[in-house]
Amino acid sequence: MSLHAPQAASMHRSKIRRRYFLPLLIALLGIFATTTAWVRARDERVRQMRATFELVAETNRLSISRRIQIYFNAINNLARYWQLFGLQGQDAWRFHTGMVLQSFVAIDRVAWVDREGRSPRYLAQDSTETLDPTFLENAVQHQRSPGAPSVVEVQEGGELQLYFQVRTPEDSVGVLVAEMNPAAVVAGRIPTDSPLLAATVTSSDNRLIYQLGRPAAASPSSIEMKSVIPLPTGSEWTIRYQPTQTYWEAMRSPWPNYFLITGLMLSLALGALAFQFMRLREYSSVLAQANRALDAQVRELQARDHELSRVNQDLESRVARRTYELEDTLRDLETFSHSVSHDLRSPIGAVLNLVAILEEDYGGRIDNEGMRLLGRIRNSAHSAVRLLNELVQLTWAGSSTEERKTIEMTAVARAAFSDAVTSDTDGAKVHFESAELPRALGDPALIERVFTNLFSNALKYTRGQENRTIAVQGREGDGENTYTVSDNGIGFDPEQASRLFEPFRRLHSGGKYEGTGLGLAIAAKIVRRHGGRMWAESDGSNGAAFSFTLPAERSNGNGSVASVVPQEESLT
Amino acid sequence: MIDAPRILLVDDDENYLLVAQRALRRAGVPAAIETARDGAEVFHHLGLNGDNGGEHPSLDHLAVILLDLNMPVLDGWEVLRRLRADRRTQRIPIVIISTSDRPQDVQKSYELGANSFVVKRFESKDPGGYLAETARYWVELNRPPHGGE
Repeated sequence: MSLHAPQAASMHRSKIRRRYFLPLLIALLGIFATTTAWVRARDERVRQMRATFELVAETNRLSISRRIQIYFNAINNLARYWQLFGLQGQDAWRFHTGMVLQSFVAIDRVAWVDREGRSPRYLAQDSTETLDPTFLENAVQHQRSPGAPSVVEVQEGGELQLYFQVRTPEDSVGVLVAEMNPAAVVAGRIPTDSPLLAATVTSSDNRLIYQLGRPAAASPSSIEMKSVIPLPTGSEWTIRYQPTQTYWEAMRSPWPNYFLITGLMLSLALGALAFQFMRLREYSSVLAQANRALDAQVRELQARDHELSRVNQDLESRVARRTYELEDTLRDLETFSHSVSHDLRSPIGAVLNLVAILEEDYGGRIDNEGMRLLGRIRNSAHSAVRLLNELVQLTWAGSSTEERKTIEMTAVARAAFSDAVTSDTDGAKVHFESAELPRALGDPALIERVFTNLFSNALKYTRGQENRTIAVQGREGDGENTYTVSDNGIGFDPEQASRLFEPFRRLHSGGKYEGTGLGLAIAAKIVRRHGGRMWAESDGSNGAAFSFTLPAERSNGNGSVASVVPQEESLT
Repeated sequence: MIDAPRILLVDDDENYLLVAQRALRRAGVPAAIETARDGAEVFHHLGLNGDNGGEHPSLDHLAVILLDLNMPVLDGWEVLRRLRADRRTQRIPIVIISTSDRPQDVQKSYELGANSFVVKRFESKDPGGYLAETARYWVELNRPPHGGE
């Protein structure tokens, strides 16, 4: 699939957007959800604390304000009693007042003093009757202040002093002073057994009245609960409820934070995962595309393979047919060559014979010119016969190589040389050097022909040279041996070396050196049929060397010579 | 004359017959030379065709048959095969005279029962001399130990 560049670019951009958008969204959603949960968990904690405090605070507020009311009422009742029934005798006063003190333990002491500060009466919780001078002085001072309320609240050393103007039936006017311990009022109203709660009671002017438990130092004001208790004197007390250190620490467990961190990390991981997933999806789509392309290629290749094998089969059958045709043609050619050379031999032979008879029987009646012409006819026919002989050899050089025997190459070479040298008019002067030659495998008659042809060739081209020398050497090789026939004749042009073995090819002009041009071709053909090679070397002037290879005589592992049984061949 | 050894020369080539006859005469081979120009003529000449008594075989004093291989109608091998198959001609010496020197041709000839194989040569000196020598050998071999002369 191919896209134009701009399209591809925009597609690429949208791909990148998609690649980053979804993972980012997932991560952000995760972060948002986690954070929200965390905030809500924290708020819930605060809310729970506050709810707890609220309940306690409301209960306590009611309880404490009722208690205060009771105490005020008690003192007020005492003042009323005095107003109605007088102070009575000292003993009766003490008894009556003592009863009140006994019932209301938060009242520390009660005193009565007249307008001039005389005839004071005084009773403390601990039954002390000795009037504290300061207490008396304060009472007188409050009594004298004009427009003083019926109840005056004086904070004195943490105590609450209440002053009531009292006119007794004896018409004495005085003031009742009662001193309350606020802590004692409050004490018992706030549950002291709670380890969760710290309570602090403060007055309007921020003095500490009562404290229960220790509030956690770090607790935020948002958790606190405040309740206000109005006093009959017009002032008010404030009770603050705060978590204790234990409670705060218990509530302030790090787990939500852990959850938060874990959640955030999970969100990020999820985002990363999504990112990877998107990329994988992209890759997989790319891969799928590549896969499809590959599939197409594979199918195409298979089709091509199929086509190729079909073509191959076709080719094979054509090659087989051609080979058959070629073999057929070759057979035809050999038959043709054979029959031509044989059929021609008889008429040409007849010419030779008849010329010989003519010369012999009628020589006396033919003049010199006639005899010369007859000689020419004879020579020409003779050339034709020789050519035919060699043609026959060339034909059967390639035919009977199935018979492989061990060839005593040294003997064969010597026999071939003596055969070749007889046709040389000056052969006696040729120096023949024959080394011991390694034995080879092949058809002895054909190999002798190879040597004969090589020696004839060497004899031909050393003719007229000084010290004519022909040497034959052999070298054992791995699987095949090499044999070389060298001479000190006129040599040949090295560039023509490969053409030496072509039939009818002669590198020297025909006038000087006789021959059909088939000798080397026959030799090369025989060697080729034996699975060997033949080549020639010369520097162009100082002789020539003709080498050929033949299969070496096989030997087994013991080194003994394996005798090769010649195959019985039935020639029909 | 009827007692003289006979040589049967079989070749379709008139020229060769001419040369061969001249060579045998010149060499003085003591035999009567008879000729046949193809395979069929051999059997006719030797009187071997008649099963009904029309012809009588004339095989007496036949010293050797010089037989060419390459001939029309019946070639030399066929002639050789038939002569060797016939009990009457089984022992007559037959020498193959051929232009071929192919080893397989030589071998086949011997396998079919030829006594010798001679390759035709066309020397400029003494044409057909080799054939005369061959013929002389077989004529001499065939002469009875106590000859008439």
